[in-house]
This record gives sequence, C-alpha cells and structure tokens, in this order.
Amino acid sequence: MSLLAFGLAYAGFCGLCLAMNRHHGDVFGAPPSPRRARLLRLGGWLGVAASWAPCVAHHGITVGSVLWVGLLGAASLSLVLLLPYRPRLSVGLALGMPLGGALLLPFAG
Amino acid sequence: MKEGFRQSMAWLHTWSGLLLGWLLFAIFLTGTASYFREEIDHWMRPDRHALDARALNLEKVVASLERQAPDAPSWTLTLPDERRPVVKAFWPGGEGRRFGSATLNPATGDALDEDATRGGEFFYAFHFQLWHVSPITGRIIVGLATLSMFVALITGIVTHKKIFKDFFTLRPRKGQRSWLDGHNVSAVLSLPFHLLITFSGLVMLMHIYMPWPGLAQYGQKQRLELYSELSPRVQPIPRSGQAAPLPALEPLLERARAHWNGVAVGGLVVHNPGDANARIEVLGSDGGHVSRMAPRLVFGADGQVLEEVRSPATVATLYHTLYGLHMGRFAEPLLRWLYIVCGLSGCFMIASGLVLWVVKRAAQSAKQAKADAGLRLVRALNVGALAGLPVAMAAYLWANRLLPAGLGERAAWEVHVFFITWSLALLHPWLRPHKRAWVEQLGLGAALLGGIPLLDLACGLLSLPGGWRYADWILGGFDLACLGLGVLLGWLAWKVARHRPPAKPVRGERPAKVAPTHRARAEAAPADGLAPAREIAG
Repeated sequence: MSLLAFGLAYAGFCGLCLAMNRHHGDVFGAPPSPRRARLLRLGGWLGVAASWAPCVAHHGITVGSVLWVGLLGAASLSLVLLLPYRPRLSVGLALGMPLGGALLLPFAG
Repeated sequence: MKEGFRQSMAWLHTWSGLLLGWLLFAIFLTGTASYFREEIDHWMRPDRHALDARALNLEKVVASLERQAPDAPSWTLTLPDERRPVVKAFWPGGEGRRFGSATLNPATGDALDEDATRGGEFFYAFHFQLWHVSPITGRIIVGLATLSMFVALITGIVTHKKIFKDFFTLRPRKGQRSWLDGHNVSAVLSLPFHLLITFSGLVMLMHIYMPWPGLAQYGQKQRLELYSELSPRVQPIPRSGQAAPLPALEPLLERARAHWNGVAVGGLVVHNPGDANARIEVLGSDGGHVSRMAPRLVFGADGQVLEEVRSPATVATLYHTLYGLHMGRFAEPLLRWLYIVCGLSGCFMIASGLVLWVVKRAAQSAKQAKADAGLRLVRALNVGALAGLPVAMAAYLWANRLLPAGLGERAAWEVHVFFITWSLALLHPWLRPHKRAWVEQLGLGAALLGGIPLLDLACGLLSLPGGWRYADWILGGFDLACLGLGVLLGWLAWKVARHRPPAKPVRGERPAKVAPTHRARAEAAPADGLAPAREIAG
C-alpha cells in the first residue's frame, strides 16, 4: 500500500520533472516536444494526486493525508538525490515502483 | 523597487538564519531525535529490556498503586504499548502531600528504577527548554530562535527566485552552486513540514510567548479556566467516604475498545480510588487520530458508562491538532520515519545555510586578502555546532553504557558528559585548521555512532530481533540506526578529507565543462562561486 503510494508520488514527480526542458535534456539529451511536455505534466499531476488515494484508503482521511504529505516529501527528495547521479535509473524506478506497488497490493492486506 | 524588496528580504534571511542558526540546528536535531524518544529511552534502560507490554496485569498494577498512593485523589495510568513496555503512573498531591509518579512493571506492578538515566527525555526537554537554565528562560530563548526560523523560512521563500523552476535541481560538484541547490532542495521539498513544525512550535507555547490575549479575556484569576476550556477534564466529585472496591478494569477497557470501533486504549484515570464515588476515565491511544485529544469514556464505580467526553471547541481542536502534528505521537513506524527524514532535511537546510554563509564570506574575504574575525568565528562555530552536536549526543549514549553503575548522580553525569563533550567540540576548531577540524569531528562522530553496536556487543546487550513485532526490533533497530548514522557521518568526513579545492585558473576552462543546454545560463551568473567555493574544505 505504502509502496504503491510512494511509487505513484515518485512517478508523478518524475513526470513533472521531465516536463521541464533542463531535466529532460539531462536524461534524454534534448528538450521534450511541447506535446510530450504537456503529457508528462498532466501525467505527473495525476500521479501525485493519485498517490493520495492509497494513503487515505489505508489510514483514514486525517492520518492518511499527513502520511501523504510526508510521502510526497520523501518521494521528491529521493528523485532529486538520484537524478544527477543515476538519471536512467531514476526514470526507470518511476515506471517500476507503481507497478511493483500494484502487484504487491493483494499481499498487503 | 521589486529588486530592493527582494534584496532586503535576502538580507533578513541571512541574518535571521545566521544569528541563532547554531541553536536552531541543535533544537532541530534534538527535536528530530525526540521522535524516537521512547525508543532511545528504552535502549538506555537495560533493566527494562526483558519486559513485555502484552503481559499487562491491571489487578497487580492497581494493587501496587494502593500500596504506594492509597490517599491520592486520582491515579493517571499510561498503559504499555509496543514502543514502551512499562506502565507510567502519576498522582497529584494536595493537603500536605507531594505529587508522585512511578514506573511499573506491567506484569507484577513492581516499581522500576526511574532515576538511572534521563533517557530520551533529555533530548526532548532540551529541544524546547534547553538545560542548565530555568525552563521559562529556556522556552523564551527557544521561542526567539523559533521566531527567527519562521522569519528565515518566509524570507527564504521570497528570496528564492525560482521555486518551481528549480524544484528538482541539484547540481553536485559545483561548489557554492551545489550548496545553494542543496539548501533550496532540503528547504522546498520538506517545506510543509518546516512551516508546520516552526509555526506549531510557537503555538504550543503561546501562553508563554503571548500571554496577553488570554489575560485580557480571562484575567489573571481565571487562567485555569482557559486551560480547562482548552483541554476539558472530568469534573472532580467529592469522595463519599464510603469504601468500595474498584470494578474490574479489564472489562471496562474492552468495552471502550468496542465503543471506539477497535481504537486501542492508551491509558486511564482512576478518580477517587477505593471510594463509592470512584470514576474511571478510559483514554484512547494516540494512534489513529492527529489531534492530541484522545477520545475518552467515563465509567462509574459500578462499571456503567456515565459520559463520553466530547471534543472541545473548534479553536481548541485546532490547537490540539497542531500540537498533535508537531508531536507526531499518532505516527506508526513508516510515518515516524518520514518525520525523521523531514527533520533531518531541516537539519541539513540549517547546516547548509550556515556553511553557505562561510562560502560566500570566504569568497569576499579572499578578494580583500585580509583576515576576517567574523569568518573565523562562524567557521569555528559551524564545526562545533554542526559536527560537534552529533558527537556530544553519541557521547551521551556511550556514557549511559560506560559510567560505573554505582556512581552517585549517574543520570546527571550522563548529561555532564554531553555538555563537556560539546564544549570541547566547540573549542577544538579554534586549535585546528578548518578542514582538519571538520574531518576530525565528523570522523569522531562516525566512530562513536558506528561503534554503538560494538559497544552493545561488549556490554552483552546486543539484541537481535526475536520476531517481527515492532517491540522486537527496538533494540536491534536502534543499533542499526546508529550504525547507519555513523556511516553517513563517516561518508561526510571522507568527502571533506578527500576534497581538493580546484586549482585557481578554473575560470578559463569552465565553459568547456558546461552542458550545452540550459545550464549554461544558470551558471553564467554566479561566477563568484569559483575557487573559494569549495569552502567547507578550504
């Protein structure tokens, strides 16, 4: 549950990050096309917003929301710390973690 | 005009951050450690390691209290939980009796030694009222620091020009640029936490910092009324004088749990114990709700529910919610660790701000080619406060294990060791070259913290987790966390030691290294961040 929320938040931030010319350039060598930037930004916001759901579903609206804010901080921090050193890995994780979180969901109870 | 405003805010940011920055760092670091205050406490009291919270026997606990405090008007009990396997008891004084407190073995009700150590309470108390000064003075000093933190945060937001554009930006190995990036990132990404902690820190002690609204509304005499409106209490009723046994407590707790749909019971208050007018107030645990006010259910001596204490007025609820958010007592392990991450990023924000001041100042000072007393002072304080505090905190833990058992005032000596170590750490940078001082103190901190598991091994206290419950992991987890922090400090020491300031004529070769895209623009501006920028080493 937490991994899913963290993964979604991380992926969301990654999308928002890659929508920016500078970071897209760092990872892929060129700025994104306007269409691609728009999609990344939209997906990014969706990911960040969606990560709220598992938190609240599992911990209730008050504690879940506090947890969500904490997870947002941790997710963005991990992205920022990973990005300059392992740009490819940091983008790969954005795809892997929500998937892993979703796959583990049936076992999380 | 706009530029002028931003510049004046930058000035305010610099000085509000600098003047009390070292104290703020100490408050933040000890406060962050306080999120694990129960765990630190448990680690520091080996006589309690074998206790099990699940072995609670309320009959024996009550029998023990009847022996220890037979005439007390009430007993307040905090029940054991997975983080702390003991019963805490408190009873108020009155009519020539002092208030009393005890820590009890949950299974037998026997009183445990409370004075062996200050435990985690020391860091907790230090972070809001310091030590060796009166609590009120300490709280006022901490309040001033908190206020300057709040000012620094807000002016920092104003000064930081590109909050969203630089949201994900961290450019390592670029001297001053990297420090500024690190400072910004640690501030912006945990900004909700920083604002919350600082603001709620002020609100929690508002009756000390701003007593006047309360005084105007309630007057000097009715101040107690303010507190009871903030935290409604069960009204005391007179004793009947007729002796009556307490009802069995276990079924009452069971009923409260059922009434709250499974919310655990955190504690209970027995009013008028042993009297026909006894009242048993059952309190919900801290888990599951953010507000500091736990749900409460009041039972009579016959075991019937008398009332459910309702939540207080809206403003009071807001107060308790801020209070609860600050304390984070509701946080289960994952959220607790997130609190730690945010707290440490706050520590890094303060530390990097202080280092940045030195980096910038050293650049100016190198141009003027003259000794700078202010720079020397800040450098020395930086080492002693930023690297020295972890050393002192680790020394406090070592003292807990190494001071002889028979030493008089052993608990006080643990605190003395903390302050003596910290004082030495503050002196040491004056005697050593700046870079050596950083390396030595960071290295010492790494050795002390990383050595904690070895120390436990040597004392025969190393405990491997026996199961998967949280309680099984406290001691082993504590050792692991110390090891992790030791590795972190060791890595920092290694980075500083290995660091070589770049050769002087970097300016010429710079453009070749710059990536072709948008970085060029960002880097062209702060051209002053060159040679002296790797200051932490210089």
